[in-house]
Amino acid sequence: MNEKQMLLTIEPVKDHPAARLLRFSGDLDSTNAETVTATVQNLLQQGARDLVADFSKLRYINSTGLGALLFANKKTKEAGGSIKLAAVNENVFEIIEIIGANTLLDIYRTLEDAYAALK
Amino acid sequence: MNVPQVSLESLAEEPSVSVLRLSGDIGIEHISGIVQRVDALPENKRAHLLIDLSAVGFLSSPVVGALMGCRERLSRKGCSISLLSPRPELAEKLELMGVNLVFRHYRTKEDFLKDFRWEAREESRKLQLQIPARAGYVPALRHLISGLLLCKGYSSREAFVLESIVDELSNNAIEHGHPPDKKFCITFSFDKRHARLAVTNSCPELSPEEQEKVRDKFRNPRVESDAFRGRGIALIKKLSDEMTFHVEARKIQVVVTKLREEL
Repeated sequence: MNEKQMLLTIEPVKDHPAARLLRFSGDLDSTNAETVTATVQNLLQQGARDLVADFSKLRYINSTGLGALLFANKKTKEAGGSIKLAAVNENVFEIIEIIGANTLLDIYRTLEDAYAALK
Repeated sequence: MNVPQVSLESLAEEPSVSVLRLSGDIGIEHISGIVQRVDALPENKRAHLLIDLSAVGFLSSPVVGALMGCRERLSRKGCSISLLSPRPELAEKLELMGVNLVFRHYRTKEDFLKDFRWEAREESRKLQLQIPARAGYVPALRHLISGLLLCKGYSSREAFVLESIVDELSNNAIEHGHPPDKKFCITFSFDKRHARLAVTNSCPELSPEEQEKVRDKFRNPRVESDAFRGRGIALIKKLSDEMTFHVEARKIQVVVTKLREEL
């Protein structure tokens, strides 16, 4: 993992024991996308079902980073849950949109909106 | 002390630039000489007046006021104006008077020429680098490109788009090119209107059929919806204004042009 480029922290979500909050900061790219994939797999193996990704501090994403998100989307759905992206900045959203991934991913304006959508 | 002097001449390196050279202590008695010379400059949208202060010991406040007036009249003619090399004490005084907020100022003639040629001549900047073919080098490369663009007045969105393009092209060269010499080459040039990026890598020998397969990947990038990788070329095509490619038996080059959106 490229520690200087991206930090990823994991927190529990109040009132949702099967959910985890993933806070991203920095750049999600080819140097750290596989770390995200491995983290998601670990969380699912540990019993997490829903993931909420806080992108408010994510500056940059490339196509490989986006691939990691789509992988997480697929795996959480297979586990009966979902991954919800919140507070995506304009530039990152444009990359997601250009690839057409905005139709595949659940994207929310704020973290509170994403929490509210958890079942 | 030097005898105060006021003269006007063309800059040898850029004839459309007039240099108003002031030397010695410049006071109220020199204002008419300065104003006459500056007001006689012809109307020319590409013209520029550089006021060389390198030999000025003292510049009185009324002269500064007169220069402000000259600036106003010149800008109506379409000319621009800037200051060159004030001595430290004078630079401090001009800063206190807020003159540095009104006039562009340059430490050296070379600094001025670089900026003038970028602004008025729309001269391009060019960068050529050989980068080790490892993903870990790409973030620094894309930050370098983005930083260069931001320094030259590109917007943060424009810089982000170019950052994305250089990132995807570089990763494509590393992951799909498998360059035997373990490096790839990037040539980046940009001016006020557009940026152009060429990424070249060597590759293990490709048969004519394999070459055609690579060309087809660039022409019609296909994306599997749940694939981990393989969206880079599609993204580059959508972010750029033009993408061309040259595939040979042992070399692949992709060239992308991006026009500026916010001039």
